[in-house]
Amino acid sequence: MAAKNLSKMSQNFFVNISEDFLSVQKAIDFVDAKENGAADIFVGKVRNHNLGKEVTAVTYDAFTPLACNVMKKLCEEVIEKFGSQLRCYIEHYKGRLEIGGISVIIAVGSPHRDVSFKACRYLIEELKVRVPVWKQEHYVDGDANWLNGQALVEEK
Amino acid sequence: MIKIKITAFGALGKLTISEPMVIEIASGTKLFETREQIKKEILKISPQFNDFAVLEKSALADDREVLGKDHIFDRDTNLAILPPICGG
Repeated sequence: MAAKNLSKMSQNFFVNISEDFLSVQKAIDFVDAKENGAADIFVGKVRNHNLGKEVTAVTYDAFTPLACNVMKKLCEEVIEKFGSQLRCYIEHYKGRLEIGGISVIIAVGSPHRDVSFKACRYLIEELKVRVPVWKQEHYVDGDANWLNGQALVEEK
Repeated sequence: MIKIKITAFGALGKLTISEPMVIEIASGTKLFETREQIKKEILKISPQFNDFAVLEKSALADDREVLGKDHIFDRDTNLAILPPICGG
């Protein structure tokens, strides 16, 4: 059965939890605009080690409706903080990825570079502590482990 | 009585992998009171469950937001158990 699409989009932002492989080009295209002279892109990938253990793959789980709501809120926050000309893109993968697979893409387009760097950094740091996504590492010995993280709290 | 349909994620996802848990509570029950009932239901369906540390740190949420401890349930609700997050 196809996954229910709960992505959210306006002229200024696009957010999504995807069970299809993520596309950097799609992010670049979305944040592009004639008014923008800069685009900053963060790409999160699966690495082959963590805390001294050899990792072979990572499975991502997500509570999609709330994740999309929170990512939309993050975009609204950076647009309010850094300017209405920003274009923001956040997409996170859900499912199993092998080493080198892209787990998350964040892109910000803006008229000048400083703002796009700052906004992109803000989005990834806030995503890591506010968006309900989890990762389970799979190890070379066949073991697997859900990683500890940040406890969620009520958003004010 | 109202029905709370519960789905768990991440490290606790195995609890509801085949189907959501359902508990019945009185309308007007607060979230912190509901936590105890959830724990009892988990032990009923999975007697060997021992991830209490993760459960204690988990947030409870509906589709729109993480719910505060004084949230009052007054209608049937789809509830999510969200362990500490680790995305990106």
